[in-house]
Amino acid sequence: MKLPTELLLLALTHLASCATLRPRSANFASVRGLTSLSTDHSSNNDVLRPEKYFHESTFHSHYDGRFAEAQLPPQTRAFHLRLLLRSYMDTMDIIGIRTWIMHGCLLGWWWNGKILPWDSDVDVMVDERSMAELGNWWNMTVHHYTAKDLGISAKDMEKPKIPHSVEDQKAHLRKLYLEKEVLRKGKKYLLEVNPHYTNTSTTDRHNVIDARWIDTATGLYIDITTIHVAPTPPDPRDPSSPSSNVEDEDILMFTKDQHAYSHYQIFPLRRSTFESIPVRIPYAYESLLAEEYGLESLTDTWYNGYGFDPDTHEWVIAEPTEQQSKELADREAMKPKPKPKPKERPKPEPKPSPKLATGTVVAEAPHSTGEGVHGDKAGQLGDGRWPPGPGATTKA
Amino acid sequence: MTYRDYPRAQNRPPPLIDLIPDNRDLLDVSDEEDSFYGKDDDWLISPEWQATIARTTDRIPRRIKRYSAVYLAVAFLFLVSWWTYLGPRYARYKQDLRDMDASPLLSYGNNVRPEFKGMIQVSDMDQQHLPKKHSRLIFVGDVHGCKDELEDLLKKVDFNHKYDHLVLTGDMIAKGPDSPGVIKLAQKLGASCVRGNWEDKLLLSIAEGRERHLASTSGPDDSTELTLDFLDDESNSHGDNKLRKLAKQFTKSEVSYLQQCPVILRIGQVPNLGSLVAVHAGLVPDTPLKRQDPFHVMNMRTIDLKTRIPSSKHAGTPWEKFWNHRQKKLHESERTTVIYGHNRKRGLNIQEYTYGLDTGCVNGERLTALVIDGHGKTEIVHVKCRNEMGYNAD
Repeated sequence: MKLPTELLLLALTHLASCATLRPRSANFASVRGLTSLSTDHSSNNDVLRPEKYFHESTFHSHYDGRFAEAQLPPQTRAFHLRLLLRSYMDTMDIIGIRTWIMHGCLLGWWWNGKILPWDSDVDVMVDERSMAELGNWWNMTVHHYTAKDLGISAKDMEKPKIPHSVEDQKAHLRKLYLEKEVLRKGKKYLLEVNPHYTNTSTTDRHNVIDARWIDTATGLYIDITTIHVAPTPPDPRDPSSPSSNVEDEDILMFTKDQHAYSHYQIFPLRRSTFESIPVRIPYAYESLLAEEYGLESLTDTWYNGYGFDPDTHEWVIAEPTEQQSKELADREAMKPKPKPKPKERPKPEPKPSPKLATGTVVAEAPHSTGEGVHGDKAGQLGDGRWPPGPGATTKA
Repeated sequence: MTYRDYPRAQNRPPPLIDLIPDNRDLLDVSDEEDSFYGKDDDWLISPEWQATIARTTDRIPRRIKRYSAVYLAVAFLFLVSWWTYLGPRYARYKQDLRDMDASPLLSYGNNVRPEFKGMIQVSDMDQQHLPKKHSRLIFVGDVHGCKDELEDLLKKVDFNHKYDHLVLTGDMIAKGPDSPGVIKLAQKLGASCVRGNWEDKLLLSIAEGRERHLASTSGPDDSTELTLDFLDDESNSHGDNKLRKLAKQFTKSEVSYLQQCPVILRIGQVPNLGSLVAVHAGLVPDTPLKRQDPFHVMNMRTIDLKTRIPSSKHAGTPWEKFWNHRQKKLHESERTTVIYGHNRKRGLNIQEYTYGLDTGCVNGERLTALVIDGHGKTEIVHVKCRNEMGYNAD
């Protein structure tokens, strides 16, 4: 008679723990074999946002705390982002997932085919079918890339000069160490899918990122979001028949981070290169950029402490030239005074949104909400009122 | 003898004139004084002024003076209309001119033009096709699969395959009844073409379908395959069923014909017209052809004068207005004339440096050809659409 009581107790404790258990990303213990760290640096959101799946690091919202204990030195971040993107695009190509770049990446691609120097993340999108495939078949897979696969060799590493200040030297050493590690061991990338991807409602605010492609050496990651087809409102004259005869032009699409698109803005996809990596680009790329970042993002050659060099076609740290600052000031003066907003929203990452004050150098400000809240209000949906609510059918 | 002396008058009542009281001493006027004949003294206006006014107003004929009220009303009406309508319009016109003449630094076109796989940005037409004594160049706007109308039009302009050369300015396919037929005809005639927004969409969809197909079969591309069977794959259905249906009608050789259509076709120098360029939608002035954004070249209708960003919307400054304005500023040898289609709403639109040829054949209107002969003389030829209701009315 002893055994059943024990069993019962065991079952009870299990139940008790289950009551508060919600799906969340693989915990630190389960990635022990993958990470080089001994302690977890993820921000603990269990109390504040228990339903949130992905957990960013405590020090910066664009790093995964399970794989990084500090930010990368800015000199080497672009290098690791490039490898991250290359491995991602390569893997998706091999496993036959259609994916394309968006947001800050798209803007960088548009300007000179490179990652913007002030951008610290990579944004990509996939369609619903591909997301389901990633979730069903590829979740928690680790993809190993050797230096050769990533297309780098010791020759490519520039011989840098040793900087003077101690701070810089430290960063420099870290940079060298990380690059050596890549050459020696290659990189392992983890594809982690958020099980909430099946919930397409924009009211699920804490799980707007559907999957992540994570660099297990540096904690950098790519945010993968799914584009959904918006449910077509029933015909007001004949509510019983679903309006099936919709032209491509009219199909509305949305993502969970509350961006709305038209089908024709995205599809059919174009093929181009970004950082000399073959990538796909949405069909009407410029209209997407204009909607998200404003027309200024396509004309201004000085933004946020960076100037676009007309000869080398690179964004470099620069003061605005006389002509540039004059035109910027003229435009500022032309603008109608904005009405005071009742509530100021926390500003996300420094993206080339013209509304961000020009003239102040915004350096890596970690934003409060975590998961990539993108740029501007333009092109976004309302306050989650649409699609109607959780459980709404979105597949037309 | 006066009347009074007349004897019979003596008994009569006095004549009426005598009854009028004579208040001579009351009235302080004497016709012997100068002021009696002078003008009334107006204390508000000094005499010099009065004299000046008299001098000028006397010169105005009375007939005109009579209508002064009407003139006032007209003037008032003009003022009102100036304040409400003409003034702002004029100001806008002035502003447009200023914007068109300015060359802001923070304007469109500073970026590196994106490079796309499977898209030719600029190519040159074979110079042997340039119009000579007996040969002509014939440009036809958006055919949209109206093969019969294209044949009618070629017959009407008396197209001679040996001498004349046909250039199709994009959107040869889609919407209309026989898209593959148009391409077959174009291939047969050795016509030049440019890539329109519909060719762009179709080719991108086909490329996407092919990739999917290759990914799923993982075999080498079977190049002997004539048709695009892989488009049957359900896998690449993404709401673009219409496009897929259209793509399936084409053979591989027709697709490769479309593939070689550049976004911008440099025609070359034609006497009296200068250098000619064919595109589907439009060009941004002052930007070299190699650096024009291909999406806009295939889609633009208007342009923002402040930022120089083109747009496919109808509302705004038409790009051709800006183009013509800027061409006139250039030296004569640097000017370029653009032949284009795409803008059906504006219809036939001929200006000094732009020729808009889309006259909406597929919508039941007309199909237009621009014929250029060896002397640079231009002629516009139309045929009516066979289906007056248009082909895509459903």
